[in-house]
Amino acid sequence: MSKENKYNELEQFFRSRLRNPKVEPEAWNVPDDDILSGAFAAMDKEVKEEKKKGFPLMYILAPLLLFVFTFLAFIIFNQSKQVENLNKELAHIKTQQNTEQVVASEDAQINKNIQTIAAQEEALEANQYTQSINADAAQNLEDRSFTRRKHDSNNSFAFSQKVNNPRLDRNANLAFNNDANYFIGKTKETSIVAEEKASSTFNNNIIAKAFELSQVGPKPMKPLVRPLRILTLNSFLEEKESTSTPSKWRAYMSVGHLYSSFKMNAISNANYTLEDYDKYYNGIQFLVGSTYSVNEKFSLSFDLGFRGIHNKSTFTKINSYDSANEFYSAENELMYRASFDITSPLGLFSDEMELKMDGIDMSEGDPMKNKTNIHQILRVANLSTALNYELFSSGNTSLNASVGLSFNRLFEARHKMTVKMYDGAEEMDNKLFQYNDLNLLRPFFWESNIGLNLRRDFANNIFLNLGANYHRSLHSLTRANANNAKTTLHGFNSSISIGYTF
Amino acid sequence: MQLEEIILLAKKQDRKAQTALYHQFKSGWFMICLRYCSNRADASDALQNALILIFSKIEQFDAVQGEFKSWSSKIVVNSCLMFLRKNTNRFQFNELKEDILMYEEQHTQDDVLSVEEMTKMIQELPIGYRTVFNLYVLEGYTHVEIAEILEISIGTSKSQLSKSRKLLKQKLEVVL
Repeated sequence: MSKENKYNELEQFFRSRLRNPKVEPEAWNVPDDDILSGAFAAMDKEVKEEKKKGFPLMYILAPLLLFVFTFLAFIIFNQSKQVENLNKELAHIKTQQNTEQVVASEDAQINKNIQTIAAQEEALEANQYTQSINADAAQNLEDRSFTRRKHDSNNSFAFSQKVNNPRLDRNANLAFNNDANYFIGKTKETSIVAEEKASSTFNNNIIAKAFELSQVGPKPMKPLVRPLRILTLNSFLEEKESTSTPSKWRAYMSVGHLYSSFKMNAISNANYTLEDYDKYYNGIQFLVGSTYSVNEKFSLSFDLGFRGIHNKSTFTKINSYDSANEFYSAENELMYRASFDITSPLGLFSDEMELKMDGIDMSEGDPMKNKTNIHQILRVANLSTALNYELFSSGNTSLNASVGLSFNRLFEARHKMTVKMYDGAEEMDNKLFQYNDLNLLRPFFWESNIGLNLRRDFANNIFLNLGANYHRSLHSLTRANANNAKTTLHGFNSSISIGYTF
Repeated sequence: MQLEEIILLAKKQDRKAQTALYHQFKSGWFMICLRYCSNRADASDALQNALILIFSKIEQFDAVQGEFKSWSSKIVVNSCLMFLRKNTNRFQFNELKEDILMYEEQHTQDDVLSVEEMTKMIQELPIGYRTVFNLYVLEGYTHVEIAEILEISIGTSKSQLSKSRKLLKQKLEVVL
């Protein structure tokens, strides 16, 4: 307190009486009871409003993420398809170009050969012309020799001697030339035959090659309608031929059986108490998704899944009638107070109910049976993304490890039970109870998961997947309540599913 | 349960602990509200706002720096000031009229005034007088601080205090 407001009698008087007054609570200085409840209500409202402020963000974020992923997947899928098609076209064009080059080079060779043949034919014609001249000359010589033989028939030896010895007769030179020309002509003739033969063979080869090329040329168009392929068990079980280049994006859908365990810690409300509990459930799961291959080992997957879990169970409890315990009379009716432990996908619930026993004449120690049928239902949709790493791959089988994050929407979480009371075979009373567990739980929650997937690809894009994963909610699933109980959902899933890759 | 334990639980937003705190301090908190507000209904509203502030800000309370009572009283005072600010367009420091100065003789003629009567005297002061008087005399703020808190001049604060003194003196003279 400052000096300036210390000294004043009036102030001092008020200060001494009103500062830290020691007065008993009286009507005038005690606030109404509803002030505290009003404050609590206002605080709860504030919390709800804060949540509402944050909640639409999740509402918007999840579909937005889905939209973005789907859009990106669509764009990238389309682009990869286009790239694939362009690659195919490019490969086709390259094949065509190679074929054309071969044809062009062979055409050039043919032209060259044709030119050679033309030149050789010209040379041949020239030789034939020379040969004909020589033949004429030889004929003249022969005529002259014949005339001489006629004229000098008795001296044939001498003539032959003259012919064979060019130095003996001046015509001998001509005879020699004639012989020589004849020899040359003979040789030339043989060569031309061979040449023509070769040319003929060559031409035949060209024709054959051209025919062959005409067969190699542009591939015929595939029919637009594929022939109907009859699927058989063998065709399913055939291993898929991995001839095509692997696509970066792959879309798939699968349906499978789920074997799941849920574990939840304490949650309670006025009606029943849930304790730690482990329980296994069967269900189905449906999945549509896409995978993007980052490289040979890593891939990203985006899935939209749905899990539906049902569990029907029955348990029977046999008691003995004991008037001092669990039974009491109310309005002249005998009532049985039965307590139950109820298993549910979300854990173990304890409850207590009363069954009417009127009209039954019971004696101490009589056996009493109560039978409880429980039907539990849990439906969860999830949008998840995961990073996958290929641990092992052999042929069409691969083992992948994955770590992921999922956004879940709990559509339904309820259980109903029918409790029947029997006296021997006679049903005395039954009661049906239904509990909506969503009243206690948040409908939206985030989960992380880690798992292993064994996948085998078969023919016709069919694949079989065996999966096992551990999942855990990232925050409490319990709605805000007075006890501020924190509840996490976690457990193991194993699944077997068959799917189709698009 | 010790106060420290209750505060610890209240920090965890335990409703039972918050309720226990309320029951332990409600009278003192409410009397502060009664001094600042002109009637019980307004004081109740101011207290409700104060409770929300106390429970939501209790994590900031550090026992080393002071007692819970003084810490929570400051919050109650601030809450009252916020309430007055919200429910009156602005502090009306010129509202004093001669007719208000006429103190109606409606109090007991005991020699010693009760806390209730003194509180009522303050309640009956005009809002400006009342607020400055409470802040200066009972909370121990200086005029500079009051001027800052109420966004008025130091002179106004001083004159309001002077007038409140004068009025209370008149009232006391009537009563005593």
